[in-house]
Formats: sequence, C-alpha cells, structure tokens
Amino acid sequence: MLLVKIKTVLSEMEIKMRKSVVSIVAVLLLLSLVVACGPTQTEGTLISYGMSDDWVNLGNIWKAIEGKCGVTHTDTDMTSMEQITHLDAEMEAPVMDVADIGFDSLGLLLEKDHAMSYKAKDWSKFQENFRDADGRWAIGYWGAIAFLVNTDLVDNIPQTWDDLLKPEYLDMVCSRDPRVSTYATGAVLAAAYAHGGGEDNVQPGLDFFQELRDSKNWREGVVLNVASVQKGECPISIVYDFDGFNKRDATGLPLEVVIPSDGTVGMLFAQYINKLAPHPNAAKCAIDYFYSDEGQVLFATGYAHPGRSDVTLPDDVAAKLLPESAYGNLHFPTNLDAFSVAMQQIKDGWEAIVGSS
Amino acid sequence: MRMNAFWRSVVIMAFLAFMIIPLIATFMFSISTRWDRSLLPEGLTLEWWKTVTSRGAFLLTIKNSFYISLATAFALGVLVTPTVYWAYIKLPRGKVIFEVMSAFSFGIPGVILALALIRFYSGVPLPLINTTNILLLACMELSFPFMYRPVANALDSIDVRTLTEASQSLGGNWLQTLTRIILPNIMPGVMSGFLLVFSTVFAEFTLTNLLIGARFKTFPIYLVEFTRFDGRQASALAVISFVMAWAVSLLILWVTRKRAIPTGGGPVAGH
Repeated sequence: MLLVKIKTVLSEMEIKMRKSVVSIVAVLLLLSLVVACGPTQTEGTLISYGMSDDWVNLGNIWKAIEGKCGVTHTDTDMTSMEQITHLDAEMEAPVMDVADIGFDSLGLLLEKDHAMSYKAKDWSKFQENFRDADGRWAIGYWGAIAFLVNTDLVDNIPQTWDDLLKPEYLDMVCSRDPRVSTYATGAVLAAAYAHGGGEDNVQPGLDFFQELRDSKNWREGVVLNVASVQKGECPISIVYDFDGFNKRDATGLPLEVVIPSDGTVGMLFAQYINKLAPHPNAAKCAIDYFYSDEGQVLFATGYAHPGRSDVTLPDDVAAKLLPESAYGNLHFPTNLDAFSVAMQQIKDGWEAIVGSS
Repeated sequence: MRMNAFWRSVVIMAFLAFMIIPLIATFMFSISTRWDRSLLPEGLTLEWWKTVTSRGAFLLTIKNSFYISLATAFALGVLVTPTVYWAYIKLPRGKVIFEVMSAFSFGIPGVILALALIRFYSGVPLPLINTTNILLLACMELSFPFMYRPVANALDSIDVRTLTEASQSLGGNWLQTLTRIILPNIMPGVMSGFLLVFSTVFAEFTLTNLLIGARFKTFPIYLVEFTRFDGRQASALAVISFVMAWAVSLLILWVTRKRAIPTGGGPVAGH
C-alpha cells in the first residue's frame, strides 16, 4: 500500500517539481530581501540612549531639536548601567550620539573614557560643581526624592521620613530595590540625611529602611511603577518629584507630591556626547539646546529642576512647581567621588538588610 | 464515574479561571476610567484604546513585528527541517549537537546574548550590526529549540529510514523524498514549530531593544513605552497582542488543515 502511494506521489512530483522549485526560489528571494534592508543611517540622524519622550518633557525637547538641528531623532530606553555596557560593546561600531546618565554612574563612564569633551555654548553659565572642567558632562536637570501620595487612599499625608513608620501606613509604602534603581538608592541617602547621617555616613538611612521593612509599612512584593500606582497598590510611593508630577498628570489620580521636610537629596542627571558618536555635530547641537535658556525652561515644564540656576522661569511654568520653601532640607552631592562611594555603600548595605529579613 | 466527571470539570474550570481571569482583568483595566479604590472599575471608557491605536507608530510596529516574526519562522523552517532530516538519515549521532544547541537559548540570558553578538559582529565585515539582519539571526538562535523540538518529535514518530529507502528505491531523489514524502508526514510538527517561533519572536523584547532598539520599533517595544506612563494604555496594547497571537495561530492552523487534505492520503503510518 505504502509503496503504491509513494509511487503515485512521485509521478505527480514530475509535474509539480517545477512548482516547488519556484516556491523555494521565492523563499530564498524573500530571505535575501530580509538581508538587504535594514535601517539606513544618513546624515541628519540623532540617536540617544535612555532619553525617552515621556521623561522630563523630552518629547517636546526632541521635537524642538529636530527642527533646530535638522535631524530625525530616535531613542532607545535603557538604564545608566545598560548604557555603559552598550558603549563598551559598540566600540567597533558605534551607534549612540548623546545620552543621559545618573550622577552615580557618571564616574564609571568617565573612567571608561566614553564621553567627548565639548563645552556647550552655555557651559560657563553652570555653577562649578554642575559641570565638568573638560566639558565632558554637565547637569541638565535634577530632581529631588519625594513622596507620591494618593490622597483618596491616605488620610493624613506624611511629611517626614519618620512619619512613614506610623502604624496607619501599614503595607502602604512602595519603593524599589536600591541595588537596581537609582531613585531607591537616593531615598536611602535622603533618609540618612534626615537621621543625622549623610554622604560620609549612610548607615542611619539603612537603619531607617530596615525599620520601615520591619514595621511592615514597606510593601513587599509590589514593584513600584505607574500601573501599581494606578491600581491603588501603592498609596505612598518614593519617587523623584518630577516623576511624581508626571505620573499625576498621566493618570489623572489625586496624587500629591510631598518633599520630606527632614531631608531630601537632589539627584543629578548628566548629559554627554559619545566619544565615538557617529553624528557628532547633531549631538553637539542637541547638547547646546539642552543647556540653552529655552531647553532649560522645557525641562522645567516637565517638572524637572533646571541644572542652570541662573535661568528665570516664566511665571506659568514656575507656578506648577513646588515653592522653593518646600525644599528646606535639600542636599546635593558634594562631589562625584564622595557621592559614588555613598551610593555604593548603600547598595552593599542593602544586601545585609535583605539578607536579615 | 460520576465523581470522576465532576472532578474533571472542577479541574478544567480551575485551569480556565487561572488562564482567563488575568486576561479579563487586563481588559477591564484597559477600559476603566479609574480602578484604584474600588473592587470594580468606577467607570468605563474607550479613550485608552483610541489613544494607543491612533498613533502612526501603532501600525508601523505591528508591521515590523509581523515582518520579523514571519521572517524568523520561515527562515528557521527552511533551515531546520532539511537539516534535522539529513541528520536523522546520515548522522544519527549528530542529533546530540542539536540538543546542545537548543539548550543555548535557555542557558544564555537575552542581555548577554545581545551584547555578545554586538561585541563579536562589530568586528566582522558583514552588513549585520545595527540592521535588522542581526536581529533576524539572533531571533533564529533564540527560537531554534521551538522549531527543532516539534520537528524532531515528528520525525521520531514516523519511520524515517524506511520511508526514505522506499522513496529512493522508486527513484526519488533527496529533494523529492523530503518535500513529497517526509514533509507531508511531519507537517503538523513543522507547523507547530512555526507557530511557536512566530509567537516567541512576536513577543520578544530584550534582544530587539538591545540589538537595534527603537530604530526598528517592534510591537513589544511600543508596548513597553506605554508601561512607563499609563498602565491602562499598556493594558489595551497587551490585549491587542494576545488577540493577534490567537488570530495568527488559528489562521495558520486553519490554512494547514485545509491544505493537508489534497496532499494525498494524509499522514502515512510508519509500517
């Protein structure tokens, strides 16, 4: 039976052979088509890492840059550490032109020599500790560690770090793992300042978070993101102030941003040009715009604090931000090295907290 | 017996609930106005669905995702099926190599695979780095076991050697034996491999984001963009992603079932 069947099939084959050859050729053609086309990179392209449209009003900033510098911009979102790994891997075939990096990762970036020296037009207008003497980086904007409180779920809004320990906030406080998230690391540093510590002594901050976890007010097993805020899983979240305002606007929830009155940290964001940038002129044009008066105001429109303290904000922009008096106990990094060391100590110290619970 | 039937339905219901409730909840969240302080959404709206589908990037990312998923599935099917068949006939011991290879994609995290590929191929003078080509090849590497496993299982279930010898004794050459004898017999395996590869690649984020990023925006990259600022809009996209995966699976199953009939006698038993 089987043999007969195969024989019939084979005779049919003679006729259909041509057909299958045609289809194989078609498949091969399709494959070669796949191989032939890829995104082409022409002049007038600008590629950034870690600067997505929804972050600190960058959507509008990129639009302005596209018009001003005559480029088409594309961003791939990634963390500061992923950026550095990418730059390491792409030495032979560089992709990225310009990027944004957390102050705690900046030291490693400079050590690996990935940043180009370029003094932007307004470089001299930055205060000294907000810019690199060689022009490799400057602080375009900063944000302070804040509480984001859903006022429908929380009756009494916490004002200080110690408030968070009150029994009424049982299972309400969301943050992230400081070993992975920079703002969670910053939160520990802020709590350290509030308890007599600081960059040179982060232990009080670690002790505070240990206590917060032990009090069960710390929400275990919930990852802080916009969805968990929207679902009411995070009545109190520890975030950057600008991120809190943006979350409020995006969700339409009654969210209030509170700066802890007993201590907060100004978390700095540096921008730089890749030393091997494929489009260095476009990158320079973008950096110039970030640090211009116009660019700085746009950052503030996205609720971030401009890095240049000499810029005066229009009244309508300033009105949407918290008054300066809210930032009574604000601490900036004293310098790159001390800050990096403190952040690393917090990450190491967290290991012990998690290990003990 | 009655008890058996009862427990069977309990288990099936529990399983369905386990699978479907998260999807229903995701859908509900995507059409809710607000759902943070009540058991059920406070109001319903189509606003989020309108927002996510009205952007130009929506159709572009779907197109890109279909393109890379279909290309990967096609390329893997064309590459793996003849190779595995050849190994079964000529080099049975070579199967070990495939087994080891198929463990790679489970053993190596996507992040490491992507960065290793960039590091290695940026020194190779081929049009790979920074193009969709490297993404296609990486996706093939990643989803290789999903094509290999069903095809190998299908080949195990038929008597490959006897069928091949019979075909050859009647004058069939290698290509004829493969396309007209073996392939129709293992078609269900090839098809399920195709489907698995398609859906794996369609939902792939890590490799795409690291290898080429937003320069070739796929649907998962579009979805993750939304997760950063609105969970409701991201949920709408997640539901769309589910529905598309189902639709494609059903479509392919339907097409192959139709085609399986005229290929002459359906699957041939081994003996």
